Amino acid sequence: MSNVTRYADIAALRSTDRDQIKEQINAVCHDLETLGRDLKAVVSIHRDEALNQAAGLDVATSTDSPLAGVPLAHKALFRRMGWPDEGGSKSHKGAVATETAHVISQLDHAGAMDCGRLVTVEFAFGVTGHNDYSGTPENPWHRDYICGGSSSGSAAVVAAGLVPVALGTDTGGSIRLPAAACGLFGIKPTHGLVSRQGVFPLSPALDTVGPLARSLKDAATVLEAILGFDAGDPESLSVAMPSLTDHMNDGLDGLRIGRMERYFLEGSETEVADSTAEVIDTLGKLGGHVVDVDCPDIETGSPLTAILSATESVQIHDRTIMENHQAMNPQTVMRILAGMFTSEAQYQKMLALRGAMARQIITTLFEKIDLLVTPVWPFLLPDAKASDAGANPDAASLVQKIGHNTRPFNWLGLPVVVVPVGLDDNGLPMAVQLVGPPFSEAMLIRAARVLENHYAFWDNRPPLSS
Amino acid sequence: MSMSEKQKHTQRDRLHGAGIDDEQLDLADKTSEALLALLDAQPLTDTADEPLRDVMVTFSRNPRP
Repeated sequence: MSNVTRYADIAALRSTDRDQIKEQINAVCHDLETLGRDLKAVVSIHRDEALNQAAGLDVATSTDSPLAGVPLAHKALFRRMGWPDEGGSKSHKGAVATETAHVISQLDHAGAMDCGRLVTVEFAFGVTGHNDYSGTPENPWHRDYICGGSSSGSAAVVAAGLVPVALGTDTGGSIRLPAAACGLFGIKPTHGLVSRQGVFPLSPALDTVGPLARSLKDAATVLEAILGFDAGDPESLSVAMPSLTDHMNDGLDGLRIGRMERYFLEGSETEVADSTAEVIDTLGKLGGHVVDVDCPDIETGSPLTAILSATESVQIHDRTIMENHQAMNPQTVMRILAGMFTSEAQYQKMLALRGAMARQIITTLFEKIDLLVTPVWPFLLPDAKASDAGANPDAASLVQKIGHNTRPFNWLGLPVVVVPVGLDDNGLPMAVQLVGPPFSEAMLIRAARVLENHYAFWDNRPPLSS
Repeated sequence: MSMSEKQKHTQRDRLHGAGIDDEQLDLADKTSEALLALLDAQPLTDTADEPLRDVMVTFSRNPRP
């Protein structure tokens, strides 16, 4: 296994020397071909295309880019013209992308090298990571355990040290759950901050795009490169964002840290709730001001996200269901079918209710606090067998609860940063999520940086990669 | 507000014709009913027609540093 890329961060990989970039690309592609495939996390590797990118790198314009020459790989939903576009589904076997995603073009422009595509749950519609067709990625911290989903391959490959950052998508927790399961920083940005144009959709009202990384600075650097208005995404917004990295070391400086006992802590397993409470206390000791809050309507966000995503998935996948559902995983079929009985009036009510709830909750909750800290997974990470709803009917109720803490913030469109804070008794990562008002990514990153320094999670190493 | 029984039957017939079996349709219908009942129970004022994007726009004018 190459030592060139293992655990290297963006700063170490950044280069405008074409020979060095090619060496790094070869090393990453080799690692993806070996350990990446061994982890069942890789869909396709594009060494020749990446080497062509290196040969064509505009050194003059890349000099100031923090991503110049940095090899990356992304979830298989991010389209690049001519590359596979199966959405993780046998029903789309052989499909090829006819467009390139806006965020991929932005990373190209920043000088990043695109080395491949990583496993996703079928159509991104699942939270455990199981995929009978593309493979179910194994968690580098313990191979019997899941990576979570749906950005399962992205999390596995970054945690194993093969690339510093990978993009994922989050419709109900699909960046945050895998990031937490694999000990990574994951950022689900504010709805509208990052374009979804050219990204295989699940639910356009809810889909977001963001990075998973081993270091907060790497996650922030990639988010900074991909945010911004894009006319190709009807939900995209033009916002004058502050720098995400310039003030990340400024500390908490009296930030009001929200603790919500009801729903989030009471609704999570004791060990998870205790760990989160300890993190909140730590933030209080490190310069934050802890405030107990409640938010009466927050619990409706989870089931409403479930029915909204199912309803919109029908609009996208109806034809596949009608013509080729035999090629789909039965669990995915069931999730889509649940949206088949929504009337147009109910769909419109969901959208109107969502806007009204978001305005009310954002206004009242963030009047009292600057950010909210909650668990990500509501229980300790389950292993692959216990969470396989296809093979184990008892897993169905467990799977339904996984998005308990994550879905409400898709419903509200809020930014969230996942921070790894330690290991459980099984040696699997534990994490918290920091939630802020719209476009507060810079503040969340500043608070997350305090936790990154305090817990120094990446002083640990997954057993697979030591 | 909800799908009429006739609309539901038409949808079921269409899916049945595509090879989706009754057991799957019953389970999907049951899941859908539970989630949509929760939606139907939510109060919504006549003036609440602001999409999330518009809400986000109002909060985008002064991003938190």
